[in-house]
Amino acid sequence: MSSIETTLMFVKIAIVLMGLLLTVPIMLFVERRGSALMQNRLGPNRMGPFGLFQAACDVVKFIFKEDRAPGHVNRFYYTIAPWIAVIPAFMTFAVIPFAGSLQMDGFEAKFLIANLDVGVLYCFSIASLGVYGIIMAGWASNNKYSLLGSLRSSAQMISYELTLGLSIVGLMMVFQSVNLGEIAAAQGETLIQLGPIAVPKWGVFIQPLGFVLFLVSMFAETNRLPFDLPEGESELIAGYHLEYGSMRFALFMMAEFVNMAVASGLITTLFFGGWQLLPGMGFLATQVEQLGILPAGGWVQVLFQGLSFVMKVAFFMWFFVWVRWTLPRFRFDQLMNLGWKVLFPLGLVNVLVTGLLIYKGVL
Amino acid sequence: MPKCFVDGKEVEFALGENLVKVAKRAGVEIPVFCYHPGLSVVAQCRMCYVEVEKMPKLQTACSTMAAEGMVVKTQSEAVKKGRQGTMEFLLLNHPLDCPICDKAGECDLQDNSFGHGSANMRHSEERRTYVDVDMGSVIQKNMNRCIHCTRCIRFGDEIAGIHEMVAIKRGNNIDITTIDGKQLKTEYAGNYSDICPTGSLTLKDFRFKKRAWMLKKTATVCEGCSKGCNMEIQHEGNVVYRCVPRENLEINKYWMCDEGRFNYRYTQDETRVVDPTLRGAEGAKQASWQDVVASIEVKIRNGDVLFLVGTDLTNEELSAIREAASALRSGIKIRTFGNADVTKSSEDGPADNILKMKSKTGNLLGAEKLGLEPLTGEAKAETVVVFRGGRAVLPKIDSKWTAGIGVFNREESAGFDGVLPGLAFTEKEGTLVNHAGFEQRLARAVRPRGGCKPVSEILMLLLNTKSKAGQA
Amino acid sequence: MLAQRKPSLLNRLYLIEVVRGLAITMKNFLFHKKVTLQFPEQRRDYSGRYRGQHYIKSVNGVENCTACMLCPTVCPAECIHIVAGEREDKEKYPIKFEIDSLRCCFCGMCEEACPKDAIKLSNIYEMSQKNRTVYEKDFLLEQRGNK
Repeated sequence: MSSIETTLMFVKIAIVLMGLLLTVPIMLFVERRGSALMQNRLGPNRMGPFGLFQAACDVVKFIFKEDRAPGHVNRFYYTIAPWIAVIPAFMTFAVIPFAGSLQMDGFEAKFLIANLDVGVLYCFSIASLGVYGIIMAGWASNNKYSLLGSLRSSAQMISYELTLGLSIVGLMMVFQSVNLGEIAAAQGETLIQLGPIAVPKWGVFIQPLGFVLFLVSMFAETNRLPFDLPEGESELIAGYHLEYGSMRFALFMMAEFVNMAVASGLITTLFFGGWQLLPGMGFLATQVEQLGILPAGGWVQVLFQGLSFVMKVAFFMWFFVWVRWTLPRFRFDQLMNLGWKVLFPLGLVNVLVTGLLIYKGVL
Repeated sequence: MPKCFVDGKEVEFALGENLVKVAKRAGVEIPVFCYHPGLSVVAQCRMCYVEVEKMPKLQTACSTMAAEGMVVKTQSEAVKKGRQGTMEFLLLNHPLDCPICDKAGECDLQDNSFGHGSANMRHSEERRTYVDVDMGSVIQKNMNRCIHCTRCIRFGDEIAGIHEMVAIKRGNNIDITTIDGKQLKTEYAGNYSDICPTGSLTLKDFRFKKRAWMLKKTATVCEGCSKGCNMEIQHEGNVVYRCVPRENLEINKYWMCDEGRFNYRYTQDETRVVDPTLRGAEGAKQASWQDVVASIEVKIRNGDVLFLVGTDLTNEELSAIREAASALRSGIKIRTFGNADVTKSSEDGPADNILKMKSKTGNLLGAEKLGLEPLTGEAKAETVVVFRGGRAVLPKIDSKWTAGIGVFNREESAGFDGVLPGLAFTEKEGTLVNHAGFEQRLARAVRPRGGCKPVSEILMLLLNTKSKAGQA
Repeated sequence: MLAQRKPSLLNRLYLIEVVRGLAITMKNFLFHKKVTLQFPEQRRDYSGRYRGQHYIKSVNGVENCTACMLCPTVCPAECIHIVAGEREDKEKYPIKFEIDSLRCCFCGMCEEACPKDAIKLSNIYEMSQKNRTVYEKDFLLEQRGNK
């Protein structure tokens, strides 16, 4: 590996880490103001323009708050639980490509940290590790509400991971790969040409049912409303993080937001063409390239691919917030019914239908 | 017995009874101002109008004697109109100062105006006003409120036996005042305030202290002398605000002397000893109950011991002391004290021809009936223990060691070596026997002040200390 | 018995309903008038009958109150304590007039009972205190609100 390749690797890691870390305060702000505006309130608007610095204040508050642990907890698991929750969340993003590739001297630079051939599977396996943090937190808190919250969490995660896996089997069958980089690249092809509009071969167009199943399962996996039963304020006070405060609680929140970011990244990569340019972006890219401000050799293209990816991810992050303040929480039996009796069979049907269509040569 | 009809109800009556009394027995309340059962009838307020069949005009119930077969209507239209007219006249010059009037809440004028008056007033001229004279230390006068019922004048003449209140001038300028504006001399002046149907004569002692409706009332007996007048202690929040006489036709009728009325003051005086004290090397000091009780117990264990018991204690306390004395040790002498000059009930007698008695303690006869001997001369013993209810006059004590149990003020207890605070008459229950042999109950109105304990409890402490000392 | 509703298949799929819900929240997010009041700068206009901070009305520096004790009598929370007295220019006046602010339930009965129009409830509603507060007479004489 050449030195330039190593440098590029560190730069990529830095970009991904910084991006994810930045997501947290930004989402904090979006969540609070977004919910306020949807409820016809104003939300925090005192700190800086539009209350933008509120997130910074929140962070400062979290850092400087006294870090207290109740006397009845299991110290060891109580302390490591937030880290167990947050680290897998960051790790998952390693296989998500945030831009295409660039031919440099001697090698092809791919804009994802780890170009694993098992990409999606890695994603799911690491993401499901996150539930250990929640279970540990609930158990170590030595509090019945926390324990109930974490039990719910584990049941929910296991139930919906099945659907989650099944929902993209069809997609893998179509693209003949589980490597996320390849899947993203494959979505650049045109599906149908409708006059001047070329409908790209995005996952959402070839697997609409798969997309819906994946989306719903993702909500359950990230413990977001309407599936935030592990927290369930009305019945469990705060669920698994009931006994947590200050920075430890902030880690759980960080894990939630990073999980959202990962989920959004996966949805984008699998169903919305990943780093593929958004309509109009190609034109903009050529215009910028002609200006010649940026170095030639495809860098502008990579930049706009990255921008497209970020915009798609941002939309889904916003969608998470949007859904949270629209839908009420499910009851636990409803959640299980939905998972096992509706989504799981639908996932199987989806695989069957996709297989049939591939056999018939439609896809 | 002859019978008459009041509002259709048949009532029996004794000859010579007026219609107010007869109607009351029939359950009909006739509004009155100038009529008072303890005073002569003048029928000048015209409030007690009733309609009597076969009589052409409305009659005043107070001055109309019931007669056989008389048919009285107290609720007819004519009566109502008559009373309403009277009320309007009475209120012509009455100021609307109920908010600052001490009588408000127990005022006949308020009650009757509410019950029988009109809500409207046609009078728009200026009201007449007076400059009030000083009536002395007991009564505050406010002539503006007066409705000239002359109850006060009649009370002075007929009950207090002193003609000091008069009505001067006539008509609109009438003024009820003392002769030449002198101060009241009678020792029964508090009754002026009680009988006044408005707030023109109120107690200076009670002025602006509390509103009448806030007071809680406890029916009890006065301990001021051997008459045993029935009275009511009116108190709120553990503070006694005033005492008023209670009707008892056999003893005090409707009246009460000022001495008894203001007797309660000593019970909440600042100088009253409310904590156990013990005299040491540096003089009298507050001590614990245990210490004082122990030192008294040690002193009465041997030597010449005299228990001085006041005749102001209740029967229960007196007999408890007697029993405790024999249980503590044999040979303890018990002598009663109370008055310097009246030591036996045979020496007791009326001090004036109204209510007051010579004995200024309430249970002289009771102590005598229990067989306690009075003290003669000065109290001479090695150790003297004084039990006192609060009013008995302390005799001269010649002893090596003296203890006081009961109610004392600091001056009285100055010569004592140990003091255990007891209950005053407002704080305890018990029986008093008055000069005529009536046994009457004291009722507890307020909680004991400070650390005061009942005599029975103090005696138990002494006995417990003794039995513990005996075991050791 | 509860009515059993059997929604149509389309309804049971929820998807359309979810989209409609999302549209509603987005409509609120973008267009609806926000109801928040920026408190220290903006203030709500309270009705004249609002019952807030008590005050004692005075005329030419003399309080209207004559210590008639009707307000402590009628007070359901027993939070008013008055000690009456007499002075040169006034036959009866309150030496002490205290309102225990934490006991008061702002029912306004005292205002209704007062025969002298002395105790009133203003529309001052910013009454937070650092500790349990008993409003003294001098303080009450100064509070007027908009009245």
